[in-house]
Amino acid sequence: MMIRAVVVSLALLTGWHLDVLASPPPFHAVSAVTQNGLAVCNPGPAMKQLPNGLFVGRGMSIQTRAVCKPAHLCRNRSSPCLR
Amino acid sequence: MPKPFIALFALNWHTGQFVLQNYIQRFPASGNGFVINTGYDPYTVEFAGEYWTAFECTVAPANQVSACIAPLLADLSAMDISRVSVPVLGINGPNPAKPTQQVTLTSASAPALLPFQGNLYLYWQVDDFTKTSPLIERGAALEQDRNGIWIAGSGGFAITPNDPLSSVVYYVVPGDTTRDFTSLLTDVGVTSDGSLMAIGVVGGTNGTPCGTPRAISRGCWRVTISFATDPLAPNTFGQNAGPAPFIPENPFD
Repeated sequence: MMIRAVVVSLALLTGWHLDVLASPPPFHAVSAVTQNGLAVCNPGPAMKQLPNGLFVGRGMSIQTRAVCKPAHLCRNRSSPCLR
Repeated sequence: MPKPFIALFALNWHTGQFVLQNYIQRFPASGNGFVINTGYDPYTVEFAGEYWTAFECTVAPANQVSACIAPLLADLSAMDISRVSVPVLGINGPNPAKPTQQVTLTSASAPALLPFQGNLYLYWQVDDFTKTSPLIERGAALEQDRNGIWIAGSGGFAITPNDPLSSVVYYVVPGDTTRDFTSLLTDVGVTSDGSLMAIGVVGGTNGTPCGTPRAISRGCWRVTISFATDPLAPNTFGQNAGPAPFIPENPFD
């Protein structure tokens, strides 16, 4: 666990993508409203897009996968939005 | 276990990945007379020329799971923690399974903010620690004074999650075992015609009571969309549901 924490902390500090771990998403399956339309995101509650295009969100060091796709890609149930 | 933090992310739409840009607030943090031990699940809106972030927090010394609010600095480099407030404070009590341990029995979780018609509203999820009561959403209007933002009518003091100054804005449907246990708001905003669009999640007692997204219960934590005009009417987000054919029943689909 400690090794994972260190690895992920380093990843976060270097700006590496958050979905570096293979653990299943432990948090809410949620939505985000963006300039580009509806998206379904995980983890955490809604992440609002700011006018500069960035998002204020929750960071976690362990078991975090942040994967988000536009809603139109979620309509085919054989192609999961979140993985 | 490392504590969560609040940060600014960029979304790579090609890969579907959020990429950390900079920290906004790490915890514990102190300001405005509060010691915030942890902060997570932020929700940021623009109101009165500033960005305000509501976030779930635990507050020293008792660590009640509560709703905190603070503005961000104009350059989004950090939170102005000197102006943080705790408008809704969770309720602690003995853990029923281990009475010597104090836990939050009723929380003000995953707060959301809504600027609407010149006012700012706060919503929070009332989460029962024992998962024996339905998980529902409450809301209230906010007002600002020199010590921060508080629930209107509270006199600048924290209220408890079920305080009558707030109303139940999203309630479960008794008798429908796919939505008789959980009705929570995850996002709310104003549409182009001036009405409110709310996105939430619901679940029921069909199987294991839907107290978390992982509960084994049909349709647990599935997404809902609804439209409303009154931000605080009773069950305002439980009515006028939007079309659902394309919303997956499984929250992870």
